[in-house]
Amino acid sequence: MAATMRRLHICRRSLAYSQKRRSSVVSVERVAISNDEPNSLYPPIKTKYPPGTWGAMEPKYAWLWDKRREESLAIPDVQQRIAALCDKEMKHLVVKVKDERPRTLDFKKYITKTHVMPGLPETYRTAVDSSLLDELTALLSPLICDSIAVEMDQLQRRGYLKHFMKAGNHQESAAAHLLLRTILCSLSAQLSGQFPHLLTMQYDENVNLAATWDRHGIKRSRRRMVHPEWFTSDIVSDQRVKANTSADFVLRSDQPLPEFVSHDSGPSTGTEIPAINFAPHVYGQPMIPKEKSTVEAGYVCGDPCEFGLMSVLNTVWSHYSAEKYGENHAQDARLGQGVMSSFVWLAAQAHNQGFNTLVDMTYPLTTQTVLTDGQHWQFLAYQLNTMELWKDNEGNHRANLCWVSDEAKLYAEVVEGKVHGFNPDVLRQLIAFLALAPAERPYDLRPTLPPTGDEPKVREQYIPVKTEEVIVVEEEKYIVE
Amino acid sequence: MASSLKDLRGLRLLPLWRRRVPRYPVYMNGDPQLRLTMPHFWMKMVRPEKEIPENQVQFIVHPQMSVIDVKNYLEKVYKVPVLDVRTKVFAGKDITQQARGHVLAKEEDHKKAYVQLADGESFEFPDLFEENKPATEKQAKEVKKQERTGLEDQRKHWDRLTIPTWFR
Repeated sequence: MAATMRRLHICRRSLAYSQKRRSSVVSVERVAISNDEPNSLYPPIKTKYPPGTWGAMEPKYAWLWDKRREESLAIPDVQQRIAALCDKEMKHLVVKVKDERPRTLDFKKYITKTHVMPGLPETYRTAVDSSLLDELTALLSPLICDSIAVEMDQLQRRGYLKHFMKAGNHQESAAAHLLLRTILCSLSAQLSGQFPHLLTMQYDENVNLAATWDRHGIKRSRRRMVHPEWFTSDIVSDQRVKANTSADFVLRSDQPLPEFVSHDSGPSTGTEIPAINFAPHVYGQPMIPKEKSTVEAGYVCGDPCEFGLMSVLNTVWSHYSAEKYGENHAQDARLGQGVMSSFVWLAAQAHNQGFNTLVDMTYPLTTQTVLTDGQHWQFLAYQLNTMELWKDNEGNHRANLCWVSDEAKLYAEVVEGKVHGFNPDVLRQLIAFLALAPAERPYDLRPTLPPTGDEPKVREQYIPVKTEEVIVVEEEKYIVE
Repeated sequence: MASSLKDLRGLRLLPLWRRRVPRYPVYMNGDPQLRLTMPHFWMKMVRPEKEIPENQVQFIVHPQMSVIDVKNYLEKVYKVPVLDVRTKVFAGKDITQQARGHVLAKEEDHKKAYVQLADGESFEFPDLFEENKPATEKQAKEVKKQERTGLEDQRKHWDRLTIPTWFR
């Protein structure tokens, strides 16, 4: 019985293979390049690779990606395009954004194709007036000191609260959240007179962010037979990746931030991200069974403020990591959170502009990220140059960039309601982050989508006008003889 | 797995290393501390299936050992500094009948421990059996040829596969 079944299976497989060969002939007609001669007898010629650079990818696989790209481009609506990308249930590699485990930073850099550079970009020196920044720092320092003292005072007075606060637990996180909210709200209120973009921005708390993309260099676990002699894993070396996180505070505006460096030169193209030699499970990153992808940018598609100004991430969770593995490993874990979170938010924003893993970005998107537990502050500037991460370095020479400042303390300690050791440099950098104004870009932000005048942000009248139907009642005429 | 063992009659037949760890008695205040001289815990270092970094080591451990037990075992007994330990339980594979394909029995489940050594430490799995070197090209070709002839033989006598080869 078993032998018969096996024979049947072999027959079915050979049938499927022959059908596959026939279907590949159909695809030639679709992407054929016409011959020079008008009435040629020969069939049109198909080039080896589709247009673009493909690196060491197999031609057959490159054509498959090209087909998927064209299918995605043919969808004219943003939400439908995202739905088409996320609708298929497939295996994902889930990257943990807040990962307490040590030695995962290299993996996170690779999976997002990010080049991390020390120091912040030049834009903060040129775009923001330094004398004004100094002035504002001197003016607002006492205000921030007061707000720290007020928030810490409650904890100081109620000494028993400290018994509940263990490293990285919910209580400690909630206390830091309250302090950050006070600092952010008082700063944005005070600075909005000087910087008008803060008047029109949107503010949100505990925002869910999620994105999905494909990354080259990670072999798939399942070997699927395509031909008696070769398997999918011989030509396929990419994996669908998924990450979701939440940002504690988010500021958004209607225009994107200016780009930090050029899209096509300098560190954007000249850096190579070192490859990882080991499977993802070595870094403690799990695979999940089949599931749908998700893309969440923290707002409903069509919101007037679609671009991120700044996100503030709570890093209290990493205190547990510092206790268990040491401060160096905790710092790496925090930086990993910053890199991943910035990438995920920008990728989700790019999805809402019509770009995705198939349709690469035509311009860079930037954001600013603050990593803090209330006392220790670290500033990140991130520029998303590309989302086409399923190509190798030769195929796609662009890399995403992240600038990181050194970690610094905002204050040393709070004793008897007074703040000691206040560091104005940290406050100055925070004001500089808020002061960097978004600017209108000279090009179309949605080049792959047809223009529609019916976008929610352009629309003025949301409730459709109800037209009254005039009912004409005809008089009944009776014929009286 | 030793933890799922219920039949007490068969227990005495099991070797010590496969037995369940005896339950630790409840500690009452003032009792003397119980000291175990020879716990049932054991760890077997294994060669990883895929490539791993220098600072990682893999073990198959007693199924009742926790992450903390593994760390203590390495640090206290062998004085090896450990940064992090992860564990995972693998289900045993089915043992099938070769010709007919039905399941005869199941292999035992096992627990694997992935240990990350502390900063500055490294370990390379030693080459224990130097004689068992990978086959040369010539040998590999011979093996392939044999496989090929076997396959051809199977295709030729597809209707007599159950009969021993001498009678085909």
